[in-house]
Amino acid sequence: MRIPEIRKDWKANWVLYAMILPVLVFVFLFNYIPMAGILMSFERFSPKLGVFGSQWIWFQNFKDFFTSYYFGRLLRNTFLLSFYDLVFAFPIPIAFALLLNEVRNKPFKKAVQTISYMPFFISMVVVAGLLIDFLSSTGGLTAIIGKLGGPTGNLLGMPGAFRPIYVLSNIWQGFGFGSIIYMAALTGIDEQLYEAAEIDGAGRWKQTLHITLPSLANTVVIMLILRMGSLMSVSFEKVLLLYSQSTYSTADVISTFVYRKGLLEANYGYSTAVGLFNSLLNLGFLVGANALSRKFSSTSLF
Amino acid sequence: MKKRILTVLVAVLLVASFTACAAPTATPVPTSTPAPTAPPATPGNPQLPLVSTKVTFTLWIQSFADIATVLGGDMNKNLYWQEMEKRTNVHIEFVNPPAGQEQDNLNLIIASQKYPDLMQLGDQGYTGGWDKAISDKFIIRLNELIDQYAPNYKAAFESSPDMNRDVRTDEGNIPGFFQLAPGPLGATFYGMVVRKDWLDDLGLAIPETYDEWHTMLTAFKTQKGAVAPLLLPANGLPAFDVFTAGYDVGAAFINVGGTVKYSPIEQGYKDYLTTMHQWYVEGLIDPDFATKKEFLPAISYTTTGKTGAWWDVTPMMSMEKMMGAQKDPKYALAAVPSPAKTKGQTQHLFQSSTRTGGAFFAVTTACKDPATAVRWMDYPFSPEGSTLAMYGIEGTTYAVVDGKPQRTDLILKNPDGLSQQQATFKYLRWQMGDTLADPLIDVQPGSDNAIYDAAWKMNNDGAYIWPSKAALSTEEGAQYSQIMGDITTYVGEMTTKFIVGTEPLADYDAFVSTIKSMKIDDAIALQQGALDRYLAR
Repeated sequence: MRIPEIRKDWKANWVLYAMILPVLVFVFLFNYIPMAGILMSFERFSPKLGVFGSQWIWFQNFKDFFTSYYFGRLLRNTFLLSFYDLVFAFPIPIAFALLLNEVRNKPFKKAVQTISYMPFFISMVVVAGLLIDFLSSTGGLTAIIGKLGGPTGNLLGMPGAFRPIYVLSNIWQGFGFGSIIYMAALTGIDEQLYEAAEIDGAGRWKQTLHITLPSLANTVVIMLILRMGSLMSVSFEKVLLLYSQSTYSTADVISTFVYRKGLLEANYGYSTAVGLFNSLLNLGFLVGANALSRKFSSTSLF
Repeated sequence: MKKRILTVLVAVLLVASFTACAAPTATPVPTSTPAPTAPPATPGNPQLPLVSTKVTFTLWIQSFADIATVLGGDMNKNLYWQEMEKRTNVHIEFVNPPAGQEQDNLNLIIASQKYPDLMQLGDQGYTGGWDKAISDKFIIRLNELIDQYAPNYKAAFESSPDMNRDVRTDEGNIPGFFQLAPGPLGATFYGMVVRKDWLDDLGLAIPETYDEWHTMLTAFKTQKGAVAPLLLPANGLPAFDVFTAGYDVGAAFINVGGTVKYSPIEQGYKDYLTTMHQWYVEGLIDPDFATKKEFLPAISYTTTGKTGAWWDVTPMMSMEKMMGAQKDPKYALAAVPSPAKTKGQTQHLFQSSTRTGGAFFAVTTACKDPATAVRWMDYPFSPEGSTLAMYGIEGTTYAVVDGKPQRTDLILKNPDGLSQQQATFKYLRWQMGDTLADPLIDVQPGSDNAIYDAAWKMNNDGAYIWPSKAALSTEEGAQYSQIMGDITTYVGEMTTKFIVGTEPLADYDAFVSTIKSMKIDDAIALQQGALDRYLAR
């Protein structure tokens, strides 16, 4: 773009630019300026001495973490928790949206939609409280699971039960709300395509297979890539509220470790190093997924 | 055109509000101690008011869960603090951390470097210790100011050698105004409790050994229908080693005649876990203990017959008795000693009170007038001030009966229906630090506290108790927390697992060798140094 064009563009759209300014300032203040804090990960950080006064120890924090007793376990727990969440919780909103799309009874459809959104709006603290009560040794869910031949006792205290509890409750909380974006994509499909297919004699199933799914594919891929970017960042609040010492072996994840080291033990430098490492992993996954997607389909974020 | 201008205005306003939030504030300039001009003050009641024109300090001090209902969220509505302001002409702006998140909140304050003028520290720590807090210019060393302006505090701690040692750090700094107990030692406030009415019903005596506990808990389960005969905290170890003492171990470091031992690698710890695991399997321990987050046992268990034995603190017990009696008129509690291996065995660990409390009031570098702050903090140690801090206002919160101050019904049977604890929060000084301990009300013979105290200290000489004022140097502290951070997590989770049985006790030796491989010996050596220095202070 040449200078005159920029000027013309500015003249025509300056109100729009002004409107986006607060967002840019917000992102700059809260997402870019804090990045300077990354420097802390190379220091034995002391708040009093500040970022530039603290003792530089370069990669010692990272070395400490990589050789830490918990490094392998944290990595495994974080990855597995996210991975199961991705494998089991990601496809469900898509399937739900497809099913709902086939429902022709409008009031029923609206009711189902509203009810399925609801859990999303319950605060995480309340959800955790409910789970703790229902899954205690005398809780309702424990009784049902016991009747069905599952384990009895305090389910949240069992290391083996933590991942299923986490993933299943995530599905319950999120599938309705997660389906909104797919529902939106579905309404955007041209009705003429369906009419044409009907004339050609395609049934409901063939229409879904050849029109709905291909039209939805782009949205699914974009959502998947975005999801990959947070593969190593599980829901911190939820884990923190649900885990306990007895389930650390499957439930302790990088973000809770960062919380304990940073906020409770005031070991800021070390905690920043661990957080930075986590972010780098996420970046790697995001870029990797994007590259793969660009290679095998035409969809990509950048 | 008008619309456009409006849009721009809104945008500008939004930007302005964002920048306002994030605007960096100037870092506080540490003020130097003013040169003493007058001779040091002498002990006694100071001239009131302390200052002719009103001075305001901000004070960071612990709050309590129902401050909103009792005081409308404002500590200045507490009668003691109102009276303090009236007498001294010093106004306090309270900064209250959310109850239960004091350490998080303190760490955030330290990281942001926006300190209040005065802070109640000690229950919450500073990484590297108080000497480092002083050299980091977080709080100031008070020795000189105390010599000059705090004659009453100085006289109080100099009255006994152990207080004179405990108010100082390894480097000889006095970091603040502690709670001091020049008279008889304060009562123990933490220990094990059982349902006395159940014991009487079942014809059982107060249990003294682990075997007798087993019999008692089994009876609670089978005959009283308790779903959780014994409550344990989530880590399986009631604090202050009050349940492990019979096996001569604690939760972490103990002082065995000047030698530092780390309890989890000792045989006694394994014995304790073996017993607890057996009890857990037999259904004698709360099946949900491992996932509970309460620091104290839940009222919904202790006052409803769901449990018959738990760990407790004295203020809770009076509330439990009140609530329990509403459901069951026979409800009664007894404080019981830590169980022993054999009858009559002398134990060495209990929750101890020292003459010098853990909490203290410190002056931060943000305070512009430390001299006045020190004079203000000295007031609760003067004759008039200590009476106010311990008992409140004569005729309102206490009356003198037979020459001894007694709480009035405003506190004991509050006409507005407040519990004793709530009335205390409303009318009295209850925060720790910067007071003299109340020697009379605490252990008056025949009082509940005195009875509990005797039970919890039965056959117990407290010889292994770790001196809470033993401290590591800054460098040691960094190394220590690097080692112990991981070990504490590991020991914590394995302890619960051994009790629950997710981890078989056969793996105990592997557990010990893992702890050793995590360099516990280095940490023990550091603690040994700290203990040696403390004993030589």
